[in-house]
Amino acid sequence: MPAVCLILKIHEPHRLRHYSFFDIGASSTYVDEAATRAHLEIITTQCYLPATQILLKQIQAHKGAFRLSVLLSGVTLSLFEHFQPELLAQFQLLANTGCVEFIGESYFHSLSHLFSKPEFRQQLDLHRTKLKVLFGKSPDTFHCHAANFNNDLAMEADAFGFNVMLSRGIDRILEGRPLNREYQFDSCPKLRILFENPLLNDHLARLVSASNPLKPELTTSRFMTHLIHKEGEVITLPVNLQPFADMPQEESGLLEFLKQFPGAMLAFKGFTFDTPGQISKSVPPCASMSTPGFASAAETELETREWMGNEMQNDAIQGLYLLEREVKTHPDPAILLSWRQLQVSDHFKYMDTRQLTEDTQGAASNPYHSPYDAYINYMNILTDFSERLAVR
Amino acid sequence: MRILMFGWEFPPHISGGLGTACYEITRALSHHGADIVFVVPRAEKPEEARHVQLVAASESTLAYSPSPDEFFDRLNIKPFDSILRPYLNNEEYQTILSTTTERAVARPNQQSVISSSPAGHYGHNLMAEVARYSEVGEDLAQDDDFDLIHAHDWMTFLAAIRAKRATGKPLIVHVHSVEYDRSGDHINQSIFDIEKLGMQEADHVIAVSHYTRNLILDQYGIAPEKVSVVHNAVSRRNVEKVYHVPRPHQEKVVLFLGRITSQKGPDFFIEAAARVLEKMSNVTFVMAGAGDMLPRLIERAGELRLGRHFHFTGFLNGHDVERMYAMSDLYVMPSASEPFGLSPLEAMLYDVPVLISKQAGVNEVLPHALSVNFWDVDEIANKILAVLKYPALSHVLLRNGRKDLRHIRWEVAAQRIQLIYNKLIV
Repeated sequence: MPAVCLILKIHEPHRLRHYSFFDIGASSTYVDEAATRAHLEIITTQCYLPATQILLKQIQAHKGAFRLSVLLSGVTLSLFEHFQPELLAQFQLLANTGCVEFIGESYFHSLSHLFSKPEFRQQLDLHRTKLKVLFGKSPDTFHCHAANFNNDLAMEADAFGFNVMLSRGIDRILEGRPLNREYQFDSCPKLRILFENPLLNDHLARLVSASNPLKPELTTSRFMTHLIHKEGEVITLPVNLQPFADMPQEESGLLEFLKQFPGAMLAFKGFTFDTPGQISKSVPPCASMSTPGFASAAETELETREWMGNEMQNDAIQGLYLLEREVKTHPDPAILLSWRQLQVSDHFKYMDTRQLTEDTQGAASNPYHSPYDAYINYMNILTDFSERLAVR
Repeated sequence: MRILMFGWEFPPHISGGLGTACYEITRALSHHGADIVFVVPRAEKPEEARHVQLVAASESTLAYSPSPDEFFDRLNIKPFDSILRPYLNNEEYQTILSTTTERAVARPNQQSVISSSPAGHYGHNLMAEVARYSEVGEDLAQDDDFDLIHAHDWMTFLAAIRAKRATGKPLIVHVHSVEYDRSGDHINQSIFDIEKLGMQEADHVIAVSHYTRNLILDQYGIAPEKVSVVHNAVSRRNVEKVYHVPRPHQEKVVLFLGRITSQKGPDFFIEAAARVLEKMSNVTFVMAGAGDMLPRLIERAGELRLGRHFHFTGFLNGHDVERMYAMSDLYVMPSASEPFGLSPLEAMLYDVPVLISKQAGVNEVLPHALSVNFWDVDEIANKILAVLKYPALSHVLLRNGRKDLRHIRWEVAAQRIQLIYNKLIV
């Protein structure tokens, strides 16, 4: 009987201020604190606070039978800490129930794994420390933003002490094997792999997408009919909350879903809720898979095209990571923090020009009028940052 | 389907976008099988306009033949003895007179010299011509059998209304610009009234952009369901030659090209240039065109000490325009109000990235262009600097812009117009 791993993904970046070419050399303030604070205020009241309150009630009501995992980036946690302490306290209450697992990732929700192993490790470490300080527990489960399973990452995760890794279940890795299972790979036998099932995320996204004006009533039962036919031991269901955070709650239907889903799920005989960390301890892996081949250049490109799909994005991100050595030998700690804040992947996603013409969902709560504006703003900041680095 | 179309100009004698648009629209419509009689105040034998029958209102008493060849043979028409143009004021008119050498332009006789009206932009004689033009509308309409009437911009509206009243045929008015675009807050009330009357009497109104449509709804109070948008387009045929212009080493060129009049925002361009030059010296700004603001701007360039970094070319003719585009690294159109704005599309045909005012209708068909509020000089300068400093920006703009251009075709515009025709005729 399948265990369901519900995973809430929450990431909110800080906003960069409008930074003109004329600010270069004149101002080293990059973050728009007021805009960041104002946006957080809206999404907290509208979505995150009521959602966490509902989840807490559900956990209490089901007396341990309802469990879930939360993936919160380090930047998001620190923003909540500064601007929304009430919301952070709510997550701490969730942690105290013992039914919520917090998942580890790179602190700055970055693409550092593609550019610098040392930086990537430092960010994993920062995030782990943050979780430990705020919630009293180090993460067991690892998720790498903007990457699927690959051997390299698995070794990193293993060396770092993670027990489980989450990945999207793409054909190249699964090679026809079922999705809803727990796996391990020959190359690092201690690490368990769970593949995400996009069912719930897609279901919710479809219901709120603008291209669906009818917006059928979001009912739990509609989703359940899809779910109960799924076979396997573990169904890993990620839900990306960012798109929902921006809309009035009565429109998204998310809160109503969160209220109904745990009870409806548990009413089906044999279905249970669990977290990846628990699964890795209680369920033996169904199969050991041979290590998948390296991803081809085209595949890697496809995986990262939202952030590195055009020349502007590549120019910006490569320009940033080229500065690593200078940054890390610089005596001013503010330099390192700025550099890391500029790594937050959303900055690059805002430069994705496909959102203008193709039918792709752009970045949620994008503060820029166009991807070109996003690039110009970023490059002005990066130019100033480089100049600051050069003068010591 | 037979269309009686009223225009004000037709190539080769054009003063701006309206003539080009009429040419391209009639050409594409005729490919769809429409049979068009195009009425202009004056006409000379056009070289490539065999797809329409051109009728000169000044010779409307001539019974024209339906056979094109015969028609052109008989088209020995005296033009109006003036070069009155709908969008020129007195100073611009004088400038054109003094700079135009190649165009076949008749010197105005004593009676037709434009006198500056208090409203500033139009001479009395233009109104007189509009009135004279309207009288022939009725005659022409009764002489011929057609299915509907299609009129381009206010100068033709009175003629078209009279044609409609005389025949009861459906009327479409096509709005390429409104008085508000041309004159800002100092509108000429008579023109506004004619525009409004035309839109009210029309069975359907075509606007060249949503920007213009909004003005039609807000300023003229026309019912939304009566107003459709058909965007203008650009034709690849317009690019005749590929210019390989040798450039000064590392010197960047930023171009403004258009009438030098407040509607086009040249003053914002010059202020932005001064800001850019504070940060960068290897750049030349070019202002191409003529207009009433030119003397003032030349003075301003002096005050700002822009010196060799800022050039005024005066009025440019066809080939020089093409050369100018080909030389440029960025085209800037900071118009205060622009119903559509064809020139950014032309610049893009020469692989020049564009920075355009958010107050321009062409924005609606160009998602991949830089846009800016025309009054925001610092932001214009910021974006100019970004294009010149960050090469990836131009590359991505051009790559995506080429895809945009593929969809901006006159055939598409004609198809949409045809659909409107079909609804009205049934």
